[in-house]
Amino acid sequence: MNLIDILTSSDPALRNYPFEAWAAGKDLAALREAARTLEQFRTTTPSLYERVRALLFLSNLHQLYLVPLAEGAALLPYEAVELIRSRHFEQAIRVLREAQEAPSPALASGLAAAYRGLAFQTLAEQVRRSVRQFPGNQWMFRAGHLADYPLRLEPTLLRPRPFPVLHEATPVRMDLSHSAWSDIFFLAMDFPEGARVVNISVDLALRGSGQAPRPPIESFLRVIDEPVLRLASVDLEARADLRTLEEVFDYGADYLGLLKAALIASGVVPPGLEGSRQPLGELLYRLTGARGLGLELASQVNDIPKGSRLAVSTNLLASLIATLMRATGQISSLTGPLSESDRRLVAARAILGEWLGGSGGGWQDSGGIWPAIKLIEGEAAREGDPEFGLSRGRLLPRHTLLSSEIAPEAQANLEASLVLVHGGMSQDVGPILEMCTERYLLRSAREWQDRQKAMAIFDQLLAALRAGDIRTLARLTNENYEGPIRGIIPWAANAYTEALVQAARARYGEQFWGFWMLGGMSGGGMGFVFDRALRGEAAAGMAEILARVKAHFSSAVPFAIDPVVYEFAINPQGSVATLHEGAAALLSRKYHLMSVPSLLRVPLGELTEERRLELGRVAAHFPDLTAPLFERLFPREEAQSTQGPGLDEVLAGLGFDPVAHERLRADYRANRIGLAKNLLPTTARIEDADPAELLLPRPEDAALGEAALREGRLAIITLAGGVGSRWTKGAGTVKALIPFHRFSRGYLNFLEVHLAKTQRAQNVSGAKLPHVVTTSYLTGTPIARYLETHAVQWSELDVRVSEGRSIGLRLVPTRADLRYLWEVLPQQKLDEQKEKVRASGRASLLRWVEQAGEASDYRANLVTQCIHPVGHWYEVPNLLLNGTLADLLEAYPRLDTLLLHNVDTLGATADPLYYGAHLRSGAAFTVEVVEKQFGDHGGSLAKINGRLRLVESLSLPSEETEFQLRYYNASTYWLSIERLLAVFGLSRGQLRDGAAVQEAVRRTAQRVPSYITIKDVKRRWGRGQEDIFPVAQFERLWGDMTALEELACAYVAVPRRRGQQLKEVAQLDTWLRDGSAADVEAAIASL
Amino acid sequence: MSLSAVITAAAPKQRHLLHQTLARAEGRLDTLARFALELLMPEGREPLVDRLAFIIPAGDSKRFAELTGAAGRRVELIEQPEPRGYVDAIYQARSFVGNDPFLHLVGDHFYLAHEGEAWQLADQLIATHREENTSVVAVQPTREALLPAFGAVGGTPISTAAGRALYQVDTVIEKPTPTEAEQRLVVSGLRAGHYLCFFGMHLFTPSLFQLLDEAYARQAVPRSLSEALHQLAQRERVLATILPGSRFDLGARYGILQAQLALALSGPDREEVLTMLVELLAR
Repeated sequence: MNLIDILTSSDPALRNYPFEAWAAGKDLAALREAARTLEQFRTTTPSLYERVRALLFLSNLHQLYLVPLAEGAALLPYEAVELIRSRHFEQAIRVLREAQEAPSPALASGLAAAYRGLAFQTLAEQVRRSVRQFPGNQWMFRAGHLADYPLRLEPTLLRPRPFPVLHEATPVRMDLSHSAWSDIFFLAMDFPEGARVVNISVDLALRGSGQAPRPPIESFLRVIDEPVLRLASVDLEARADLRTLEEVFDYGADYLGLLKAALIASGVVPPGLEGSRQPLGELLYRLTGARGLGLELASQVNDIPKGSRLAVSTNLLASLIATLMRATGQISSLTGPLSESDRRLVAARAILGEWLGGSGGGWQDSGGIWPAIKLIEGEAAREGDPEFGLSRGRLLPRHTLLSSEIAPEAQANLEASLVLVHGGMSQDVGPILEMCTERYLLRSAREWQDRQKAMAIFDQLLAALRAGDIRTLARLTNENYEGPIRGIIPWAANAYTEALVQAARARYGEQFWGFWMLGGMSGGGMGFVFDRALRGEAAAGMAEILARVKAHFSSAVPFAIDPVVYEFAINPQGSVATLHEGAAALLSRKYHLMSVPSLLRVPLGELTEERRLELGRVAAHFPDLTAPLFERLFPREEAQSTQGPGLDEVLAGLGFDPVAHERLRADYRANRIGLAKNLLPTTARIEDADPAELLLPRPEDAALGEAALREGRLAIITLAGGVGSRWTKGAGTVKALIPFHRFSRGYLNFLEVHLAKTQRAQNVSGAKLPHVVTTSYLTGTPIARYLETHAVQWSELDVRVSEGRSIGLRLVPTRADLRYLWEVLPQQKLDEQKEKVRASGRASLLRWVEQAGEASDYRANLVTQCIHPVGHWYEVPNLLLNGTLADLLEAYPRLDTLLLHNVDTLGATADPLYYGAHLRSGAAFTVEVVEKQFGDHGGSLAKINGRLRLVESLSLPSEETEFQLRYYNASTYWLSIERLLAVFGLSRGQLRDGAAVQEAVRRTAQRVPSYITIKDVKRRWGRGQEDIFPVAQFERLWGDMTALEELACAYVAVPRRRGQQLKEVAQLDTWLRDGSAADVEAAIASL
Repeated sequence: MSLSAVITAAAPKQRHLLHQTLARAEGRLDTLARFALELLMPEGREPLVDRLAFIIPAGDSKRFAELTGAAGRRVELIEQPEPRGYVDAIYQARSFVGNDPFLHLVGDHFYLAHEGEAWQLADQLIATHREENTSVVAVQPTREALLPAFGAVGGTPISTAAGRALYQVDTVIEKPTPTEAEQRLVVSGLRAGHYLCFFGMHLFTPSLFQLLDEAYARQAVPRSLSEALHQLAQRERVLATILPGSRFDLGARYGILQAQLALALSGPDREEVLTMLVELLAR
């Protein structure tokens, strides 16, 4: 069997043959031959999905099979790295293939990245093309000039004094079935027969708010007597008057991107006009038929926090689009519910809008505009469809309303039994969806079986729903979650959710009928189904459970908000519009509460007539608005106060040195330090390390290491000061405590994996192996608390916490640094639409820097987001400063070596082979390095002016230089204690002399460089909204110690799986599939 | 079988339109009514129709009589008692037409043939009707930006012995949005973003009036001629044909100016008119 047969076969058994099964046991020659054939095939096949699947085969073949087997020595050509980053994947593949006479791990990793990038780019292109070609969407791309502008506003909306308000109320959607992510566009369009969901439109209210459930989404549209496009987002408190077309296409400039996308996707401002430099006033004239008139569009989401998994943004977009299309006659009725053909059109436009706005929703997500309960299914593309010949399925699914088939009592039972919650987790579903797409296209055996299971469960679930059997339905959603969903993507589940389910089961036993996961992953929107007899009590109980379990996980899981419980009701109508006329021609109370204060600040004579009249109507219609209006006009003192005092207290408590900080800030402001100043001197000669200069472990080293372990000469130091900013995209948790994977013994966090390995090593050697966890101000208390509460579990270990003693205060970056970061330093290029969004976002950030003040203290956030750890370098001196090392040496007099590693280097073990090699070499430090692959970025091994040392990418003159260096720093160090102390100018005896230690540390610190780095931090506001700000901080890195002349360092190349660091959620899939997870499992299994 | 013609000019907004004048190449000014008459009853030739009715607003007979006097008894003026819309205006000609086919022109359009005389356009439409023995709508491929001004048809091209561009109509929508047009009115063979919009000339079989009789009896009168035609196309074969000419919507902004320019540029004084325009532009 060859791969081309698998790709092209019409026989399902062959077509669905797992890639892994094909690849297992193949030798290098067979793999290379397959790669060559696939490469030829993918460039010639007309079928898009065969092409995409071939690309993912190629990517996996290189990453998982060729990288470990390849023996060539070629480095990654920098040109290819740049091409991949700028998303020129085809060219990158050409460059890499030309460089690849004998495959090397580096080249194979580059090819894997390029093929993967091209696969997803091709898929995105396909969806984009299908959206553009959808009948009813095409004209908007042709309308490139206002002379081509074809829309006219409905005359009803143009009758003035007052202009009526068109109001659209739209429910959100729940996915009852979760049929294994089959609603991802790529899946649905390739496997339409497998794409099926039951989708329910719901109204919501927050439990305890005293309000009845209502459609959570509202859109408003009216004509105004000013020639502008006035946009308002009531829940985000953002408003803007757009006066040029350019502003409409500037999505990232403010919080109104979704409204702008709606204007464009509805055709009111056709996408074809982008860049046409034509006057917006002229467009409004053509639209309204009169000079001096404009449009106001407002959105309001009632009390749903972000991340609800209820497709709020897609349905909001659809709601806004529907309103705009009604107003321009593109929908058959101005008011009332939508017809089926109108709903389909709006759904297609919402997909277009999401593409324009750079976001991406699922294929069922605009389900809220349909009424009640519906079955949504993929449809095969037929001749005449724009998708025909390109994909097996159509872009838009088929919606079948099920309401008539499901008895009203069954619907009422569902409402009474289901407790709908938002668990509060901050999540990034993107990597999960990519993993899912990839596994589907590879037909990974487990995934494919689970997908069949999910499809079977779906049929049963549908039958249970039709029969009104909610208990069976809940059992099935639970079975689906515990079986196929977790099987396909293990990380859709998490320890927090498991704990919630366990708590619900513990409290309610048999009366808890089942768990139901909403959307891409659990932790946000979720459902818990109970015996309806518990109605009310279960909701209250879940609120209590959520609060308690959240508190337990608060350090380990990123939370965006406090968990909430909703009241909900099935919405029988879908999206419905009404016209507010005459005295009732108003928007919502919240809207007017937001808009009136600014109107009151303008002299009455300067207001337009419509606005003057509006003030009168508001006063008459909302008599209770006075008090809240006063609150807004004259905000109370405490409302303005920020985190200021709290921050200063914290800083003082943590021993922050304001004098040193002031010096640093002045240096930064004066541009004496900065991103561009991190570099090595220009005279430095930088060369690659010769593999012959590395320490090569010998078989006999293992015995030496084993003996030393038995003698108790080693201690493990796990660096756990970090907050996992890449893992949670800046959300701020304790990296060591993130329960990142479910092993055979359950969820383990990073720290537990390391402790388990230590336990095992201790069992093997029979000698105590002390384990120190170094912490920072952010991680110290939670880690200490964890160890306290788990003392019994780790009772055989001597685990100590080394308290962090050093913090810095973040600074607002300089504009020069931001420009250097964005324009000089290499950046991952995004796809075209996302680039536009990013560019306008960056312009806003530069304005923010200007307002906040360059190099000023960053204080406008939570305390923990304003301060920062000052780099790994301090974690070792902290062992000296806080007495941990002195204590250890007293307790273990024979101790002479430390194994220092990052908390996310899961493969690092006290391997006797490397330990022995280190001892034999007599080096002060032995540093573990790995052969560099695509994506490795940070420290490298280099010869600087003839001397081997580690060098940070921050200090290299160009990124190209970094790719000329073969070895990447795995950040695992074997340290000789005596030699380490010598560098600090200390002896064992002096370790209890605090002043001497402090002086030694200060002296040594001055010998290693300080780097300025820019980090993204999140600022949360509103209901789970998050902004990301780049802030400047400085750090010193442990690797720079190797630059000290008197320190004899050895370097040892270790296998990838030993040196791999897990920095991002997106790495988990490869980590699992390349055998690393199995290594860890083996290292902790016997416990 | 005789052939009648019905020209609607009853909309209150169009009250004075047929009184407007355009200058001919030879410098003579003629009213738009005169142009319309000449289209159907060209001087020095057999008339294309046996008789002609103008549907006009109530009380306007006297003013219109002056305009059409020259054509004598073959021209009738029919007043629409109340301004009840376009379909009702056509229906006023019910007894005038009887049970024969009839040619219908909208009063606010002006026509020019690409080659030859405008009457040849109407002549070609009549010929198509006689060949196909069914209702035929004259259409013109029109870019989508102009959809708000016209009725538009969707259908499939059919081949004819005479090699004419003929389409079997299945959908007719009055002033569709481009979204609706793209979903329901795309006709193969046309450029992207172009639709078959009304030319303003239709040749109807008596079935149209039968349909309207029933609609009036049910009190469900179609809101537009497009709606009536759409209903007709569901009952029987309706064809559309592209005529080799241009139509100018006189009711549109600068519509008369545009028609005048087109007329002048199509005549012997083309160079002179162009020079005039260039002079205006150069100012």
